[in-house]
Amino acid sequence: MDMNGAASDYPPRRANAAQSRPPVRYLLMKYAVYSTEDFLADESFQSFVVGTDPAAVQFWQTWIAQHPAKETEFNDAVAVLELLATRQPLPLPEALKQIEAAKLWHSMHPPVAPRAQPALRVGRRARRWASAAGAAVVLGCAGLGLWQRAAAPTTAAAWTSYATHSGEHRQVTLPDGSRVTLNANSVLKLATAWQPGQAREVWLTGEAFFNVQHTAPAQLKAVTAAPANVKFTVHAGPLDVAVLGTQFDVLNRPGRTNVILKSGQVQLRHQLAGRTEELLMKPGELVEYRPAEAQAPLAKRPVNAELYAAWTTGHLDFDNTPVSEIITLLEDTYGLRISVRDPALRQQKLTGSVPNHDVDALLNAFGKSLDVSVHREGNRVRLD
Amino acid sequence: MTEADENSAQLWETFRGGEARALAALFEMYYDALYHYGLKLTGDEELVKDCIQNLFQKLWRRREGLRAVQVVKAYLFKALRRHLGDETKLLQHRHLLPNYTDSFEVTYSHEEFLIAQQGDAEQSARLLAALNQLSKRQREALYLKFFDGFSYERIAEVMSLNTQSVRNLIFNALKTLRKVLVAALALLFLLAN
Repeated sequence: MDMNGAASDYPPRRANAAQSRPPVRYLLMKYAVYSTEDFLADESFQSFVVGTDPAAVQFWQTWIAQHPAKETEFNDAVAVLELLATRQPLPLPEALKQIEAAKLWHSMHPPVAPRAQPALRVGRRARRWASAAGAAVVLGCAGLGLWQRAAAPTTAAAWTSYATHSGEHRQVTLPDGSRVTLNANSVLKLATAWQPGQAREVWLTGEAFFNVQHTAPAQLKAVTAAPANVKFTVHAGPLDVAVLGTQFDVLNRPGRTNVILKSGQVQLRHQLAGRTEELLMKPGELVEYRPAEAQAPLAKRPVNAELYAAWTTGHLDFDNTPVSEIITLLEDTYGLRISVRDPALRQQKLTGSVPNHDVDALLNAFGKSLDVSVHREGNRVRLD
Repeated sequence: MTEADENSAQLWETFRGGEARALAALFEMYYDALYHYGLKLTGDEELVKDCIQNLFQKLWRRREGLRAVQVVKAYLFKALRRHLGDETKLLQHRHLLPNYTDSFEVTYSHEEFLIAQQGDAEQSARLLAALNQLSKRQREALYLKFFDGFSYERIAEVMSLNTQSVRNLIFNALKTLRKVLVAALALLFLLAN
């Protein structure tokens, strides 16, 4: 036996491939007549040079020690393969992978039937929606599975609605994996089942932050150029907010409708008395619509969009935020009119975090940190 | 079969049995490799992200009709390759691009190889020039071999070729590289002495 132990262990055998391989002795003889190219193309030799297979490394080190006559060919082959040694590619950004994994997860888990809750400010039409949601809940509770099927009314579409009480926030995952955070006293309605390839539509009263999945082909980035079936539309009072995949806040309270865009693109459509007005929003813009000034054209203004989404966390986080910005935020969010006695106050900056479920508590904390007194009468607030 | 291959073959079975977490685990396991391969083939990040996403969503929807798989990674690579091919074809068709070719254009860059990191700029440039002289298929086969460590048999599966063709592709590719590179090495050796 002229082979040593290490050599005869090679090639490492696969359980079922072993029989089909030539005997080890034959392989060893074959190697003795190898040209440089033969070495190059030999898979076990490649794994030896690349270092991916410890058994191969051991085998070839032993082999060349025993066959010094083949050193030239051997070393040439090693030199070529070493040049091909690759660098470990940089890992992908964790965020990218997380988003993609979440998308997949949502697609595998359509949302569970919602808990029906008494909705505030719900009209007759909405009550019908609420009862459809009730039916879905019964199905869910009956143990028919986590998979929410349309409650199967074949004639009319089934509707689901999500509602919140005052002081309550709620996370909702829509059938396409989009996520919505509902603010207090809000109602979101949508068709229970969404067919792939159909336009996605929801109706909002109150306030919600939307994180919408992009379902259009990747090449399609402009919402204005997109066909209806890949758009996601929020109907908020007189405004239609159409997007492809973005993050934005919609507030639709009596007296005003605001849209604040955090990222991506929003196409706003305002229909009034047969006239349609369209507007394209960029990140960091706020558009406000007041029915009282229904004839005025929609206007954009830049805001700190991050701040407008902060309520989703249950508290407002200020980081060296100018008081003027905070005042605008409070006015926009709670429909207040805030006046300041000392204009210099607007220039001050605040850092910190305040819970935001109660406007009065919030105003109090605001006044305390600025060392001013707060007087509130209805929606008028005076900071002295 | 490596240990990773055996693990993923088990995950595949669990996933076929209806366990979403198993598919999520496979996604996590192979996302990077699939992404890099897709990017190599098309150079289009968004397209690659979409195709990987669609591929896994489709796997989930069609799990009941799937068969057992020996090497999941190769199966996924092959499926992604086909998806990307279909998408690219569609796009080219839509834009009325006349010369549709069905082989992907793999190009290499300096930063992918250790040699560039070692500061040997000349040799690194020579390597790239030599690599980019190879046929498209040779470049792709080399990528699967040296970047993803696939065996000839699995490369054949991914590229829909037979194993002997893959062996020939790589054999000829390495032969060409050697001609270019070893000549240069010998020259360097002469100069150094």
